[in-house]
Amino acid sequence: MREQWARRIALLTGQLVLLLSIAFAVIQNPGETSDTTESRGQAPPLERLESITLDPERIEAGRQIYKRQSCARCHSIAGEGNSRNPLDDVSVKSTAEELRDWITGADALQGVLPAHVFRLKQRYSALPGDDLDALIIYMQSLRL
Amino acid sequence: MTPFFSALCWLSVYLVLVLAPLFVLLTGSVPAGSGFWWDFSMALGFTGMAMMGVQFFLTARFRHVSAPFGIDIIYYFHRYLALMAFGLIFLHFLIIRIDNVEALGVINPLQASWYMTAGRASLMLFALLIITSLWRKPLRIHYDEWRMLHIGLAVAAFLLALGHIEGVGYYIDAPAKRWLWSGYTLFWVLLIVYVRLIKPWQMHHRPYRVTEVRQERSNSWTLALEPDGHEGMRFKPGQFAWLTLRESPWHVKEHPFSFSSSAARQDRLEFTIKELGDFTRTIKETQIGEIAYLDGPYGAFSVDRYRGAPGFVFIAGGVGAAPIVSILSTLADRHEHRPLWFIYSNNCWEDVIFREALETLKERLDLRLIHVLAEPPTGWKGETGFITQALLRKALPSDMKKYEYFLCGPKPMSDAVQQELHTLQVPLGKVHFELFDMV
Repeated sequence: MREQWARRIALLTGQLVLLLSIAFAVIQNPGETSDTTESRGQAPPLERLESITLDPERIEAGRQIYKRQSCARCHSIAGEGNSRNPLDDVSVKSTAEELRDWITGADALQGVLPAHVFRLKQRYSALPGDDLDALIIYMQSLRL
Repeated sequence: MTPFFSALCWLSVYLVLVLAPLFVLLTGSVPAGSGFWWDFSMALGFTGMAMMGVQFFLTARFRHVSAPFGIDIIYYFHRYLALMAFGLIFLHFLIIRIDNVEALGVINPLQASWYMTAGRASLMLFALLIITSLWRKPLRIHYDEWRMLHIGLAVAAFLLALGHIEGVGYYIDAPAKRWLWSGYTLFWVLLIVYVRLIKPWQMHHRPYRVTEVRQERSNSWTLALEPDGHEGMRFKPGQFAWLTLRESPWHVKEHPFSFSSSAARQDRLEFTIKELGDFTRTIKETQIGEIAYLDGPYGAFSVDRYRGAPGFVFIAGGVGAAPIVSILSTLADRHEHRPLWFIYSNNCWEDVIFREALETLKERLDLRLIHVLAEPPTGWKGETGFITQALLRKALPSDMKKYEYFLCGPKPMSDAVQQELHTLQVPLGKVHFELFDMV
């Protein structure tokens, strides 16, 4: 009897938590169906195309750094990663220098970015210069 | 407060502890949604962790918390909840793994960010924690070693998970959220300090001395303890305590045993222990005057919870009679007049522990004692075989449904008797038993 109640309460809690977690996700994403891949997969409009040539090896190196640093935890590219902050058109909007500032959390961004995001970004200022350059080149390649 | 309301109160506290993170996540500056699956996964991670946190609370053996339920059921709940919480945490990982594998980054800990590695390591340690607990015996892990391993794995997995939450930094930036997680962490740290340091220290200051080691039938020994410099322990008949012998209370080498003596005496406590494992085989070597420590009393297996019952039926097998003898001795000391039945199952007549003591108790109580022997001696006129439905019908009165039943014995026996009583339409709520041997 007590055994059954213990099992029931544990199961009920599990179900309640699942339901509330679903409710939380729905509240956080109003008007969105559970399938978000379609909207994520769409290519962003290209606005400020510049004709620059980028070294494919450097692009690949940047892609690897993007992967190693788990950038997709906060950002998405072509629908892969956290859709809250898509990077597909980032270099259309920003220059290489601006990209560097955004990645490393330059002092000027304090107060512009939420405090925890600013703190997180500042960790990347410890990246070796070469890696940072490769990462920027990879960002720039996204619009090509 | 009645046990029912007390139980309801603690269940509410439990739900608040588990669900608080979800509600607090929605307060303060809430970041924009990151897609249904992403946020669903994050919510699962946070609540899974809150559930894991409650686990420390459940095993801290707070007597007020466990009293309305019985601590055996709290441990049972602890086991179920662990599976549930692990399921949620695993789902948290799995959803991201399927929906957004990029976000997990590289697996190689040398290249991956520390907090993602911490999350992965935590998940693996939680899995190991569950595997070593569910299959301790097939894995041949010694009980004492398992307890140390269990504590170590739990604390390590938990700290790594907290590191993961802090490192990732989602949803924890608002002051309310920081307070919540700092509060939870502080609460867990204090719990561990209380359970592992303060409680053993309290036990250390309330030692007992072994005053008798008496041989019983069937490789069993009765250990008598007397308080050394304090008034002893007040317990309800049928309850049990964790016993530490030959070790300091900080070593976490303790074993649960039912009191077998009368609860009317708190200045002399007896435990009757059968040689069944590594620790119990050493009981006979205990010296008079040795120091022992007790953590207790615990358990809801007591007639004192059913003071209005018209009578009691006890059904036990082998050394399972220990708490029943404690109950009967207490009832005799209280000059109990209600009708009592004790159906006691053993292999053979020579194995019947408490045989003589029960005869004495029979004279002091309105007790019908029914011995059931699997291998009866020649000329045995009593019951034989197992405790069957036919035997219960024969031994118990026709109004058997109105009595409270207490079962204590090997699990197969307890399960079979529960089934027979159910068939005989004895309400489930009137059948009481303790769940032992869970790991």
